[in-house]
Amino acid sequence: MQLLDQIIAIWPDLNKAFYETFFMLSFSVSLSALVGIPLGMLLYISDNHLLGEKLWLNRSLGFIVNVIRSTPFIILLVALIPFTAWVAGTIVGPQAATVPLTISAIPFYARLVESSLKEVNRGVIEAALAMGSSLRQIVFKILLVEARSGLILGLTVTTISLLGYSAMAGIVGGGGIGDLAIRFGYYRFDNTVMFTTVVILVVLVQLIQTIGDRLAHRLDKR
Amino acid sequence: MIELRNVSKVYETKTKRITAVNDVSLTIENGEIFGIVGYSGAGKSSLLRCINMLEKPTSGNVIIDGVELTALPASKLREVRQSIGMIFQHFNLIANRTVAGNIAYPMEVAGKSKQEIKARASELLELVGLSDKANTYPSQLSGGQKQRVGIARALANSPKVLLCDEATSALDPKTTQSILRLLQEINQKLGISIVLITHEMEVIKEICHRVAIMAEGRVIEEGRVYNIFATPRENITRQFVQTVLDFQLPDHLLNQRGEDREIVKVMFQGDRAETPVINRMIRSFQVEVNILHGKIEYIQNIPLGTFIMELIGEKRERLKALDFLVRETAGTEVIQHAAS
Repeated sequence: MQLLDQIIAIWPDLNKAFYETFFMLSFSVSLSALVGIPLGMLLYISDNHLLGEKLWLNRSLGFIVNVIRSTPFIILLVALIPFTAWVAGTIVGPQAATVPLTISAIPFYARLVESSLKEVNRGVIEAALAMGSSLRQIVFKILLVEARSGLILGLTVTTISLLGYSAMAGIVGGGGIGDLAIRFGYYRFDNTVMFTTVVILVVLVQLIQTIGDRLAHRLDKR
Repeated sequence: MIELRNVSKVYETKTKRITAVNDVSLTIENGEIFGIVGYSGAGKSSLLRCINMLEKPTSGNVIIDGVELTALPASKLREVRQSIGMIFQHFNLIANRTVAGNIAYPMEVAGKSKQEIKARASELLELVGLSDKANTYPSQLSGGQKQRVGIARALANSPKVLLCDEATSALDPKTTQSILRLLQEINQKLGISIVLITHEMEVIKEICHRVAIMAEGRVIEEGRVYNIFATPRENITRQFVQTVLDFQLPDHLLNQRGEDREIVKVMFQGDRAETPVINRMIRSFQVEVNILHGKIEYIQNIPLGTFIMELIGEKRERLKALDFLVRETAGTEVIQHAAS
């Protein structure tokens, strides 16, 4: 019963953390999908000789993507503070944390998008070209359709890794479940809070993965 | 009419230059089924892709019905491509679209209306015998069915030309036959010209009117299918013809040599294959005939007969009989002389 009492005691904190996590994830996931899909598409097309290869574009985009991806998240978080202040109008709280989360997730997801596009059968693209398709038609009617389950699985992976990163958002007072686990559980040796939050995180990850897998499977007719 | 004038395709990498197609000129008439045969790497696939400019020729001109494709800007080229159907060895269907959706695709590209697409799709499904599969996904179909969908999709915008890229090479013999029949039917009913590439001479024999043989990027021989089978000039052509008309005598027959006999290969073409030439020879000369091997192939419904026989008798009579065969048949060749 003691455990239950303790959980009830931290309930308001948990509730708030849950809301903060939800806020950070929903913004950063949708923004990274919105920017990551076109960016991944651009990376793919600029390296595909059937679709108008532009190697200089591919190399420059690839370089920027790699730079962001190789910077440790905490360093990115701090380095982006001026940019965050400009975009979010504040440098603390979940709104502020969303900015570096999104910036780090975009190139990550763009690479996953690129690799799912690379799995689209080249023969199908050739057939589409032979039928007189424009690049636009190939992008919307062939590439996005054929790669759709890979895009969803990639977004699932991105969401889960953002959930992990959001714990570090505590540095800028971002809050969230992961931050709660670190501040209350880890720093204050409060095992109850730590275990409770870790259990919640495990359940959350399972849930996200299951939804992603199911959706991807349903959309995959290959 | 498709005209290829001095078409070459050269691939350049950092280290080497590969000439896939080397100065090829061909004319393919309307309503014709034209075959291009060659071993892998002969350049036939690149040549086929030059016709719809999936591969842009390095030099030369591609002209279809008076329109020079090699000179068209990209947007006009896309329009022309909508009237050139193409089918593939591995079908290349859109996996996440149903059969009907795949057939609809080229019509969506051409900007047809929804009703038009729906009506045409069901018409095409009926033509290829898959009316019950409209809402099935390609992964649930057999190879032959997938190729039928490929054919329906290629015909969606009523093309004048159908390009077939090894269309039957991934199929079993029975399915190959049914796909070839379908192609023939399409050619006869709709008057569509068909250009197909293959490494199987059987396919050429079954449905083509004319054939070009390719090796090392060049067309080394070209002509009516019957003539190519009856009188191949080049070695490679002969090898291809032999894959269909193969006459291997067992060693023990070839080893039985005698002073009074020789082994002769005789070919009959057209009407001659149906007249009793051998019977007349036996009646006219003092020789006996022992048929060792024989076959009559019907190519475009014209018989082409090949017989291997032993000619037995005195030398003088044998020579007279041979002389008669040379005059009366399309080709007589002594493949083993009498022992002397």
